[in-house]
Amino acid sequence: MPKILIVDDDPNIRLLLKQSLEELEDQGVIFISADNGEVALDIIRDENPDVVFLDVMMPRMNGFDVCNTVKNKLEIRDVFIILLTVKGQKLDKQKGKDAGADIYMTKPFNPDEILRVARNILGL
Amino acid sequence: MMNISAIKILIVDDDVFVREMLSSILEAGGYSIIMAENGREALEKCLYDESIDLIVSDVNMPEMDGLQLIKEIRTHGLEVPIIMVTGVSDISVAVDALSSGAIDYVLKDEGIEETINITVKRALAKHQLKLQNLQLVADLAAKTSEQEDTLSYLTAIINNMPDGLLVTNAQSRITLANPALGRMFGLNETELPGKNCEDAFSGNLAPLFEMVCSQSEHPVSAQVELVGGGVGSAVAAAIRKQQTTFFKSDEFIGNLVIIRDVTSEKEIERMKDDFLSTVSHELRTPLTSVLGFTKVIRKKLEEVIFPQLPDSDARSLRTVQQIDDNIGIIISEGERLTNLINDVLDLSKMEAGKIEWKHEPAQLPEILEQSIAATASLFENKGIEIIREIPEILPTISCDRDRIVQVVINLLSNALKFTDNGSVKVIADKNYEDNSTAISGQDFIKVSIIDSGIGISEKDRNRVFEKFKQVGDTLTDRPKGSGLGLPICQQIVEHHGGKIWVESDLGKGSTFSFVLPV
Ligand SMILES: Nc1ncnc2c1ncn2[C@@H]1O[C@H](COP(=O)(O)OP(=O)(O)O)[C@@H](O)[C@H]1O
Ligand SMILES: [Mg+2]
Repeated sequence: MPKILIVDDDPNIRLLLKQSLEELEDQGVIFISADNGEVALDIIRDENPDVVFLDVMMPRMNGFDVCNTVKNKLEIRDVFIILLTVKGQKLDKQKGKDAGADIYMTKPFNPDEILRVARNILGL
Repeated sequence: MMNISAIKILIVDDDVFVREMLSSILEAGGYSIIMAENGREALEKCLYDESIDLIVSDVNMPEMDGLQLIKEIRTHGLEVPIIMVTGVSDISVAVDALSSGAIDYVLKDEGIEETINITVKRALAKHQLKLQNLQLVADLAAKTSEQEDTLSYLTAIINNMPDGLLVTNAQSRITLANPALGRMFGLNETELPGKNCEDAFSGNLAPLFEMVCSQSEHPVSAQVELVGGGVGSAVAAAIRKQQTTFFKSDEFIGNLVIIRDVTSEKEIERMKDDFLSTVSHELRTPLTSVLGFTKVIRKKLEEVIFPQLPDSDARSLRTVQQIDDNIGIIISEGERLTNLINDVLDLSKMEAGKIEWKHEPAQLPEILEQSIAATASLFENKGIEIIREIPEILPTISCDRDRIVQVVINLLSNALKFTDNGSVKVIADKNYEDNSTAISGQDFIKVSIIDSGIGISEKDRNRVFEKFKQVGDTLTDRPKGSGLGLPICQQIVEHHGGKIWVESDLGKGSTFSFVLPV
């Protein structure tokens, strides 16, 4: 079963992401969510999600650090990380690339776009 | 020298024969003469009449002799020159006279008729010189004191100014450092003068050394760290001495560095940055929810709810239409708010110099095409045609490509927004020249976006580049937008060393143009 991890400290955004992706549930995709970076890191290690929607601005451990740890330190390769940043600032783009994010999307995002991206990655 | 008849000579001799003889000789020379019989009388006359220019005096006289007269004259503070007339036998007296302060002597012999005239002339000339010399010395003293005053003023200013000041000579040796400098860097400024910059400036002060040594033609500036974690803004400039001969170029005599404590300015700037990024984050998070959920709702309504409604019922059809419209408004206003936040953030970052600008070679025709493509569907929807007059090949420019695209899109959307029928023309031209730039020999490319819309009145033309400025009647035809588009365009274009302006005919259309250096 493909797994999608949703990470954001704002419960509304988590709900929004989940609802955006809801259709995939019928196709057997399992959703897990986390409200901070530390928890997200544990889940990525233990549950091996296929796709992670990862917010950048979070307390305790931000998205860049989570991404960096997963991709560069733990060298987990088979996870697709989508960084969710506020507005595509040049600096953030570069930081995201350095941290090893596969793509980034800016907030506010379009729910359809989220769904399309997830479908593409999972080949559904 | 003054008129001879105005020169007054006092002849002093107890021998009336000698007095008359000298008097007649000198009177023949044109001088005015007064006489005294002895030293005492002579002294009294001198004290009474300060206009006496010269004394010709015998040595041996009753009551007060010649040598005594010299002493008395001088102790009374009189400068009048004295010539001693001495007998041939007592030449040694002449020597005494000279050492007591006589200006010269004459021998009482047959030749006196000639020598007295020469000696008098010489004495007067010599005295004149002496007086001039004294005057010079006095003038110099006055000048010096004046300069000492100026120096005191300057010293007071330098010592009390809040900015740090450092002066070095042409060999990078420190010649001046003020107390503010000492305070700023936590050192004793009195120990600095005489030291070489290189030895004196390590650590925090190293940037100052580099500035002083750069010897650039133009002032250079740098940021330096101050004691206690403060921030200073330093400016260095060469000191040149103007040459009096105009064909010589000014002489480089040293450097001046002024450091201003900008800690609080920086702190305010940082707070503003923090504030802006917090605000933008805090505003975007709820906006993400509002916009996202609205879109989810619209999708669900369209896919699940609306199809279940009976389409025969007029009322429910109307309701469906209304809900659809209302949701459309929520989404477009939400997007407008997002754009506004983006613009505010963008502009304040540009103004604060916080944008990292790229400088990469780019082809303007590609940039224009990309911008046209991005707005093409909007133009199509409104039925406005875009006409291109773009040469295939234009000189390469070095720019931040995305930012120039942003400028063109902004101008295109404005043109579209304020044009209800007709067309919008995009013209690029490489042979742009204007008087102010032609001199520098710099080539520019000019881009114009010409619309056939409402135009801008003369008084509003200069104001459209102001922040939050939307001209026209804000109540009736307040356009959708932030009023930040043009200020952002201006920041971007000016950052690239270009300029942007508008020409317009009210009611007929506007032409927004910008130039970029090649
Ligand atoms: N092509 C144009 N024709 C007429 N007026 C214009 C045009 N472009 C800009 N303006 C005027 O300048 C104002 C400022 O423009 P801008 O800074 O882009 O802000 P906005 O488009 O968000 O209102 C506009 O509101 C409008 O009044
Ligand atoms: Mg605009």
